[in-house]
Amino acid sequence: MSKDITRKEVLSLRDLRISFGTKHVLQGIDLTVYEGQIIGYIGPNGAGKSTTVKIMLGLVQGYTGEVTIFGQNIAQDENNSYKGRIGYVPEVAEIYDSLSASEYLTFVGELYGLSYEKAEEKANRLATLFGLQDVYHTRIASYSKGMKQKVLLIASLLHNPDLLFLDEPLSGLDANSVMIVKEIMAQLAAEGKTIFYSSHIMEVVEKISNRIILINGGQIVADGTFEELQKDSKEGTLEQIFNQLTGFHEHQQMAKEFVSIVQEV
Amino acid sequence: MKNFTTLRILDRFRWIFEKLGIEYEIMRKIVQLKLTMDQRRVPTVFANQTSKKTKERNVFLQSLWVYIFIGLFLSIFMGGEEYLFQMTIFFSIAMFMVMMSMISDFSSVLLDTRDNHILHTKPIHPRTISAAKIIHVTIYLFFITFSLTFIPLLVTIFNQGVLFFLVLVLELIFMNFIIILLTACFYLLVLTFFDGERLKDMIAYIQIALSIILTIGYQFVGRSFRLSNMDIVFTPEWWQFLLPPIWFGSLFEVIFQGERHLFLLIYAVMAIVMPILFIMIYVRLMPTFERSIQKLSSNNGIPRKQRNRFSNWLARRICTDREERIFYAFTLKMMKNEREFKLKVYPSLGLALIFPFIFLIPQINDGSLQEIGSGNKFLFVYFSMMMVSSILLMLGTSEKYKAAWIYTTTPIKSVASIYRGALKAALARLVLPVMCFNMLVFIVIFGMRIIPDMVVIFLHTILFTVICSTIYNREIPFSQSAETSKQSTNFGQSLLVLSIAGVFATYHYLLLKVDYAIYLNMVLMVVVNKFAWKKVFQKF
Repeated sequence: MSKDITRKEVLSLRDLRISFGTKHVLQGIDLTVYEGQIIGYIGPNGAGKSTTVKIMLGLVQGYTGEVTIFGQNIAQDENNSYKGRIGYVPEVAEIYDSLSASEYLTFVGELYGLSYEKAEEKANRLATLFGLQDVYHTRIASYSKGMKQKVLLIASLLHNPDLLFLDEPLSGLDANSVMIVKEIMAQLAAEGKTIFYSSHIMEVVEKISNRIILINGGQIVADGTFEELQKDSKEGTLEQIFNQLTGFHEHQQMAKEFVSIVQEV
Repeated sequence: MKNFTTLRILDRFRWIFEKLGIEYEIMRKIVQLKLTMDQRRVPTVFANQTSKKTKERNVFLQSLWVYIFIGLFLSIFMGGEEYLFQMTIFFSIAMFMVMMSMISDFSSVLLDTRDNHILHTKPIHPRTISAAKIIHVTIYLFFITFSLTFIPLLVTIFNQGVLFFLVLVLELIFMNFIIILLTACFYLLVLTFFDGERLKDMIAYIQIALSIILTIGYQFVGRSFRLSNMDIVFTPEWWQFLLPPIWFGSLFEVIFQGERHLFLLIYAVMAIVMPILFIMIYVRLMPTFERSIQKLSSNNGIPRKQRNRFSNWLARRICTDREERIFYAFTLKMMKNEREFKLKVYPSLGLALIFPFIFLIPQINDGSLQEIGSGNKFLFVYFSMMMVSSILLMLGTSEKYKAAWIYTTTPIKSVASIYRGALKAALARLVLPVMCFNMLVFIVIFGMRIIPDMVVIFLHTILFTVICSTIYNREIPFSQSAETSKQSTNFGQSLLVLSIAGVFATYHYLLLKVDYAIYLNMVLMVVVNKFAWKKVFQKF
């Protein structure tokens, strides 16, 4: 990957470890990410994907190792100023849903340092593009899952971040919106933004990522472009690669057993 | 899931439920689940606490000893032979206390829309679901009533004998019947007229109105008795038919004093017949009630955008810092929109509005208005301060407290500005308007001469709020579930806050003794306030 040398390093993790009680969730993650990359961060449930992202955002404390974002160790950034260049879409749509989209988005925009007017104007235009204009001043509590997801996406992008953490950003979106969001990601990456994308939908990850990182049991088990992973594992689709690397083969057997238990009444 | 003692007691009455056509096993399961959920309320927001094991315990049950404490005072009504008077007062207070906690704490149980999605999609008879709901509420009502009356009941056994005790127990149960129906009726009434988000707002307002009505109704009960020549004279009036505590009081008078006044006889019969009638109506209404709750999740409001010029201007005046201003505006919106917040806080605002006058009105009855106007009774305004405590507690909580991740993922420079902004918003939108309203009325009663005192009280209120915020466990605004917040504050803290309000009032009283001390204090308070707002929050 010779072109990475000229690229700017956006974030790096050095020997990142964390455990909750006796459970070792991350067992030494080493990773360097460069500008303009779309990273598909995948792994089975409970592998530590969300934890990695939450550590980088300062949502989880108590890790060991070093997390450097935009050239600065985040443990030493007392002002949290590095967060001003990050956008985050959490996996679960936790949101102050008694507010309207307008109120919530301007609030978040202001937290990221935008003026009220700027935040309001940008949020309004983005929401309109996403088809939220009719409900823009209605409480988020009454939104459908997809609409909430759109609000979260807009909230993560208002301040034009350089680094995006997206945790299942497409969940709940309809097919058209999915196409829009995928295209947005591609264009943002082309502008030099870095996207850290976690998802369980392998087809999407396969298509949009230019680098795929697979973690299992708190460790990185594969890292490279889709083509590189294909070559190494001699499998056709990312789904198959995923199954192979996480040591899972019995899906047919398990499904069969599952169905047979269902049929016992 | 634990096999709760309450449920095992319930098992004894299985036959009743089965006779009523309720699937007992399923109802028991639902109640068991609800009780387990009550115990297992999610702890704190930030994920770094995930490793901590939280013990399963019911916060509610721990708060009960406050009621036992109040019961201690109630037991003074258990001595003596003036049954009508004593028992009416006793039942008024008991009903008031239980109904208040029903409104503020159990509306979420009664109006749980999740039940629709989870329970009503399953092959269970709606009657069973309703029964489970009633039982769930009843269990809590039982605990509240029992703790409240524990000491009074003990006293009656020794003082008034076993029969009296048994009648009291029965009447307390009946009292709860009335409370359940009244609460449900109120909700039902509102539910039929509104839907969606507006409706949830309406319920909040109704609850507020209800708590105020209860407080005023309480005054009427007091009116029924007149102290003359050391005797307590009861004057029967038609409107007493509407006051359940008087029914209960009459029952005791009729049984134990052999009173045969026609009105009292009718009341006594009502004390027995009405509650049974009420609970039967309630059971009938339950399905209608459940259907109406479905409307809570629908929504077709008209969106509109509001931005208030005045509040913008005010924000710029009182918040110097940019971040502070953002949180000021945010807190204003949240206070306006968060239902949970309004439900818990507005009733105490209502009480704060009324309380100073509740103490003032009996005084007016005794002396002439002029006499009062020249006294120091305007210090009653200090009673309004008690609302600060509940506002501060609720400010840290939110239904959607998990959304507080936003504070951590955004580049906020100083946490102090979050607190300051939120506190200023609470002061500007809730505390000070209520205080100012009361002060204006007091100025009308007491005359212009008390204006300097009112200015001092205004300044005291601001300082008091800052002091209170240091006493309670500080939480970032809207970042805790209401349950955890309750858990972390104890009765001692609330008592401390109340006594600080008392200290302010006493201090003010002493100031009145010295000429011009009020004016000196005014200057002093401006300085102290400036200092406090700057320094107090820096520690965070």
